[in-house]
Amino acid sequence: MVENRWQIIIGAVMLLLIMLTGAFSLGVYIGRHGLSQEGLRYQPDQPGGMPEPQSADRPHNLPSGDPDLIGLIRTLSPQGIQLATQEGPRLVEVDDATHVQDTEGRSLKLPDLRLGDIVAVFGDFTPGDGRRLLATHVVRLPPRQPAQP
Amino acid sequence: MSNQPSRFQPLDYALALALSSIAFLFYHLTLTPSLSYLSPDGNELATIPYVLGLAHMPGYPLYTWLGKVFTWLPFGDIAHRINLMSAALGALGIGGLYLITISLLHPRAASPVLRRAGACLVALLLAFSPTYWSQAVIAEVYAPNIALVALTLLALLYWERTRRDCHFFLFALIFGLSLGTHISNLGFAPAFILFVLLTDRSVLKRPTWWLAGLAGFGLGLAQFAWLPFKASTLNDRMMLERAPTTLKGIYNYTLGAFPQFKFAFTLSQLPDRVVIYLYLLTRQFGWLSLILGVIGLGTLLLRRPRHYHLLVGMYLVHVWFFIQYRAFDLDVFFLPAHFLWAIFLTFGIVEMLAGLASIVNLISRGQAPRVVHWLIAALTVMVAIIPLSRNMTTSDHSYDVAINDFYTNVWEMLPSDSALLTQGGVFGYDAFYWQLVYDTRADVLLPTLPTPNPSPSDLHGRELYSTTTITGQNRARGPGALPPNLISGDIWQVPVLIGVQTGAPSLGGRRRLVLYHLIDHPPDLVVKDAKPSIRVDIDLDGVNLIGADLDIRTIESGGRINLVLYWRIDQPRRFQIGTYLGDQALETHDIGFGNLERYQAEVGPVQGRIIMEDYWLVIPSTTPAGSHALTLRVEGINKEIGVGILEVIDQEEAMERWLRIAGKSSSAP
Repeated sequence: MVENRWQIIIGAVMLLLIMLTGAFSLGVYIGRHGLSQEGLRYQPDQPGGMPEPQSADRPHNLPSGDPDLIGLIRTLSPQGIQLATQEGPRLVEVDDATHVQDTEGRSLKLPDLRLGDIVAVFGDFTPGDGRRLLATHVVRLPPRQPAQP
Repeated sequence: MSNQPSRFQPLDYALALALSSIAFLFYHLTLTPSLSYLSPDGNELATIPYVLGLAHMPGYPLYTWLGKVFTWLPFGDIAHRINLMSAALGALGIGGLYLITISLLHPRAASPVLRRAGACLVALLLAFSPTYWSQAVIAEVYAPNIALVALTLLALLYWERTRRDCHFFLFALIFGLSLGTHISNLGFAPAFILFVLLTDRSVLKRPTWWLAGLAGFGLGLAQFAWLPFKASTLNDRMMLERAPTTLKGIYNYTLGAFPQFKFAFTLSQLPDRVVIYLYLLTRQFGWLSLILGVIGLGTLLLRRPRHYHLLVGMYLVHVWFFIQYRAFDLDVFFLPAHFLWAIFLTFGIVEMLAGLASIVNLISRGQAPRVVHWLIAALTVMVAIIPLSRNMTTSDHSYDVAINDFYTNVWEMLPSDSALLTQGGVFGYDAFYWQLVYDTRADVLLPTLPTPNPSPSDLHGRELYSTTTITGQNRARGPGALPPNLISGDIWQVPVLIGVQTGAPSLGGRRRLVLYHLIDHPPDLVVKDAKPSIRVDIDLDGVNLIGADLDIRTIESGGRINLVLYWRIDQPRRFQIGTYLGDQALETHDIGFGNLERYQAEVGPVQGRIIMEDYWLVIPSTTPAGSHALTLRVEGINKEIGVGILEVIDQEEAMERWLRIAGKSSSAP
């Protein structure tokens, strides 16, 4: 029983820490992103999927089909772009051959992108457990319009 | 001894079997018929077991061997049989979960009927949860891995009861083997060691116990000798860079695989990652599962502290590792954590049911409580209908026939002794599968099959085709890309066959199924005159569809039709065309298939001239027999243009057709 008691005490401390970690993380998340799910929405019916862009807005010179990702730029670096997408945060890698443009087909440079821009990414997935997306095209989309009442 | 897990009753075996059967039934109903892009590795993982090759890092030897056993099934094609392995082992994991929870639920927690109802409910909740289901219908390692995790836990609990060294050997063997379905299971080792110490420290003094453990685990681990043995079969650029031919290479290929993705986040990013995990968890079982799971953890701690430390130890290490893993599709990596949370959830639900039963007992008399208990149990199990109905449609991939339909037509169309350029390595298996498994069209060279870096001389004298874009801005890149010097950058890629876009959007689901003919001169995009058999002559805001030619009007589903469209472009801009069969979108493309701009630059202007598009379209084998309208839609213009009525017949089963064209009968291999 004495042995069990210690197991229970240690286990209770662990449980408390688990709950504290969860609560702390939620608090930090709300502090950063508010109550919105923008940073980590995840659609159960579209695993890894993305909404289709409006066909009329489809930019020029893009690979056929849907983009691999659409998301809001959270961080930017020469190596990659951290996006907030409907599937949660995603890190997209870029290289010298990555083409950046806007929806009018005008070429841009990576530094032209700004935090908070919404972009559509076309790219190549690398295989294996660590799935990466190397962007071939990054398209800056027009800012989201506020919802109409 | 009161802290020992309960012995199974015959009824428990029957219920576990029933739960596995129910799960298998639904997985089978929604199973991907053959190849698919739902997982980026899926087609490789469907092929490697048959050829007994070496899969991508970390190799998955046990998965490969189990897959080989499933390829001996006497029905379907090889990919179908491997998909069935995921369904069968995923279902086994569900039965295993029931047995684990029912053995751990304390007899005093609730009446047997309520305990069983709670355990059945949670097993079904996991079975019908979106991520688990998604992995049980495709060729992937995650569902088989859950079966191995369940077997490992059951073996450990069995040893706990018997304390016999031979049973510890069995546990250690299964644990070692489970690393061959996912090497991250190694992270469970500290929890297992702690559990053994909490259960019976005296075993440490027994040499036979040590021998049993080390021999069992060592034997399981010996599967990784497969890696150097099969390293010569690797054909992926990234895998070859870390080929497991030396001890260091084996480490790099296994424990050292993908180092850039491990512990990839800073301390300040971890709260977000924890919330992502919580979000993924609630996606599986609903937000209430967070509360019930925590209640379950509390009751597990009070009733079975030793098992609490075992399961929480496994859980924490797993979650801790994967919240810091920079994987693109994180959800599948958490499946073992979801499996463990399901155990906690069972405890929470059973505790809730016990509370409900106590209230019933207080207010009822005579036989009434017994009846109400049964009623509560029945209603509890029926809750599983909610995730079943919610996730059935999105988990159903039985219609995903696009790759097989496309490639069977490719093999029929390719001329003798041609070469088909595809992506290399793991991404090339949608094409490699056919030659590796069925030796289909052995005369056609797949240059990237033996090596990711074929040389131009390999292609000499062969007519060239490709299923990947290899020139221009849209060329495929990454580890599967073709070497830049393989063919001339001046080559024209002319689409000749277009497959249906794969069904649900998914990782890699954007991949288009197009067969290009590679030619060194401009295609015949512009014609002087058009005399189409179907006259349309309709103006569509700057583009005029003059008419079309359709070669046949009756087509077997899964076959192809030849469509020729004649356009006159009055205002040069981008026009995207969609081809529809009834309501089903077959494909979309830009007029000129992306060659128009280059044609204008190198050959001459196209404004006011007649553009001819001549291509073949795959009619999906899922198309029901009957008459279907073939229509065109121009993007941005709300107008449907009828081209003709197609009579689709369905005289041959899709699988039969695939196997016939692959070159084998359904009874072989």
